[in-house]
Amino acid sequence: MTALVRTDSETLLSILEETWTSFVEADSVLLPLIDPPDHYDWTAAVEVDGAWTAVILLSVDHAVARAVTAAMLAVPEPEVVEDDMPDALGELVNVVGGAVKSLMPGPSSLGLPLVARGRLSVAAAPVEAGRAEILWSGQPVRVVVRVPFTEPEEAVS
Amino acid sequence: MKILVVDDSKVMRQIVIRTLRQAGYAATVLEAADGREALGTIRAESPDLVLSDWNMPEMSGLECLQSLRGSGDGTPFGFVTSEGSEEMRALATGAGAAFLVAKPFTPEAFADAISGVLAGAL
Repeated sequence: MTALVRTDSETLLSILEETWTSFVEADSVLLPLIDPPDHYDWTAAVEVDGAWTAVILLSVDHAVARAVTAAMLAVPEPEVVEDDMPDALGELVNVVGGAVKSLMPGPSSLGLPLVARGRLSVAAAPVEAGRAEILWSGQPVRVVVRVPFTEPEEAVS
Repeated sequence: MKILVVDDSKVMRQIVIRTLRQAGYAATVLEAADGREALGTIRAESPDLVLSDWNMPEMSGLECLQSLRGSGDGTPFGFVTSEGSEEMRALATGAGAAFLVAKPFTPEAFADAISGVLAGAL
C-alpha cells in the first residue's frame, strides 16, 4: 500500500522557486498568495507511481501560461503560439514532480505530463497531501500534491 | 563539434540549447524528439555528445542508450532529466551514461558534467 507522505507548502514553494528561477526568470520572486482563486485556465499534471504514488498538479491562468512559455522559449509574448503552452506547462510540472518525488520514499517512476484547459480529473488520488498558492509577477500559481490514501501521515520537509 | 539534444518537449530542447550556449559550448546542435529519432540521427550524424531526456514516448532515453551500447556504439551520452535519484543515476551509469544532470539545472551544472566528456572533442 502506498503511504501518504505530506509535502509542506514551504518545501513546495522552494521547489517552485528553483524551477522558476532556472527555467522561467532568473530573478523570479514568488510570494505566498493569501486569497487564491477558485478557478484556473490551465492545469498540468504528472503522476508518480511506485513506492510513493501521487499526482502533482500545476494550475495557472492563461496570462501566466503565455508568459512562462515566452520566457522558456526566449521569445516575445506576442510570438507565443497556443500549441507551445501545454509543452511549457508540462515541462514545468514534470520538473516540479521530479523534485517532489526525489523527497519521497522510492523507488517510484514519473509519468509523462498531461495538460488541459481548465481542470483535470484526479479521481484516483482524492487526498490532498500538499499545496502551495503563490503569486508570480502579480499572477496566481497553484501546485497541489494529491495521493490515493490517507494514512499513515508523515510530513517531509 | 556536434551535440544532439533529445527531448520530446520543444520548449525543453530550446532551454537545453540555450543553457549549452551559456555554458560556453558553441557546438552545432542537432535535435531529436524521442529515443528512436535519436538513434537515426546518431547513426547519420555521429555527434560528439548526446544529451537526452529520460522519459519520452516511443523510446525512452535509457532504451536509446541501451540500443546504442548493444550495437557497439560508444557515442558519449548524458541524461538531462527531472529524476535525479540515486537509483536512476545507478541505472544511467550501468547502461553506459557519462553523467546525469537533474532538472532544474544551471549552465555551471552543464559545464561541470560535459567538460570532461568533451575534452577530447574540443
